[in-house]
Amino acid sequence: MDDNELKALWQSDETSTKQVNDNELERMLENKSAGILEKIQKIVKIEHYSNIVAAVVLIAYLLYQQIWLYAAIATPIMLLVIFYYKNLYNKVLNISYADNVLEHLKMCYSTLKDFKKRYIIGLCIVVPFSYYLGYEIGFFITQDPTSSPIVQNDTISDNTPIITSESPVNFIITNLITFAISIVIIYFIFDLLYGKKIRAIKKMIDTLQENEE
Amino acid sequence: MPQQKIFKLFIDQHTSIISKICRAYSNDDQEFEDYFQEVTLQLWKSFNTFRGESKASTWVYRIALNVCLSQIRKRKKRIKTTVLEHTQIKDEGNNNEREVQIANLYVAIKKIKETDRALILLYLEDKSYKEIAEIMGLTVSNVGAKINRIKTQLKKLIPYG
Repeated sequence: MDDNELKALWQSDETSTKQVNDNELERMLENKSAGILEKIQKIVKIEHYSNIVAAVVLIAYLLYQQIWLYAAIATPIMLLVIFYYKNLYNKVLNISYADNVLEHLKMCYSTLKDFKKRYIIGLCIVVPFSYYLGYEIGFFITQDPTSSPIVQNDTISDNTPIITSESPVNFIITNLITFAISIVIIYFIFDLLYGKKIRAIKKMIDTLQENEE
Repeated sequence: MPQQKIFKLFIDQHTSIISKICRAYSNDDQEFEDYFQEVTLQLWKSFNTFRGESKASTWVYRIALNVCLSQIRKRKKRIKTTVLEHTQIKDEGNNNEREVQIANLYVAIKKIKETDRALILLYLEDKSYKEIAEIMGLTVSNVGAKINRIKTQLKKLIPYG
């Protein structure tokens, strides 16, 4: 079959053409997009507003409790997080399906990569913070409850579970191992969710750019 | 005329393009419907921003290809069974020879890499290399080189081609 016959055959295909009536079109336009970009856009939006609420609550709490040092540390960190999310949200919003294919794939790739990276960074902040908080509660309750900047005396009762490790080295090693395992597990979950897609898009970009000047 | 009515006319004019692209990237009827709906939705979302700087068909090709490529799903096992069953049914019924040829062409196209598939679809639609380059974001010379290679590959993949 020569090129013209191939084109003629393709262009004669009417069997694949879908007819859309008014009702069906209306239903299609009412449906929400199932695209990965829209999904990310929604997630980032929810997280962005949650961060704003969390920042206000956290900073207000620290100020109310007069924990000035933590308030001074938390304020710029939360502002940075909010600023980062705002930028990410704008970036996702600005991705246009009307761009040329290579441009669109590059934008998708960069956004998905940022989205995944953000989880990893978040993970590296949230997990150590959780462990620190656990350590803080355990250590100060065990050693000197009155010196804790976070745990209030009235929250400690006789039934409060405490860490009674006799060897701080064992305690640290156990926590480090748990910390490492948690990060690896969560990393693989995110990789499973987005890693494959990111690699597939990267492969498409590389294929398209082959032989490009 | 309400915007949705104008859009309906627009979709009617381009439904063949959208259908062919969605068919080329879908593994079964359900996936075809999903792609078709997503392309229509994205066209609708961008409809107001289309300023006619490029041809309407170029704009439709871009959106349809971008939707299909960025949302492509891997279901290799299902591709084989669904497509072969479809082709066999046509063969058994000794239906219109052209329909069998078209089915075989789709089978061959689906075996090509996703990005190469986009290029060959545009070539089969008789788009110029310049227009293909504009849709894909590539240089004209690269489009030419790639299409020559993909054409040869496609011809080898078409049964009795």
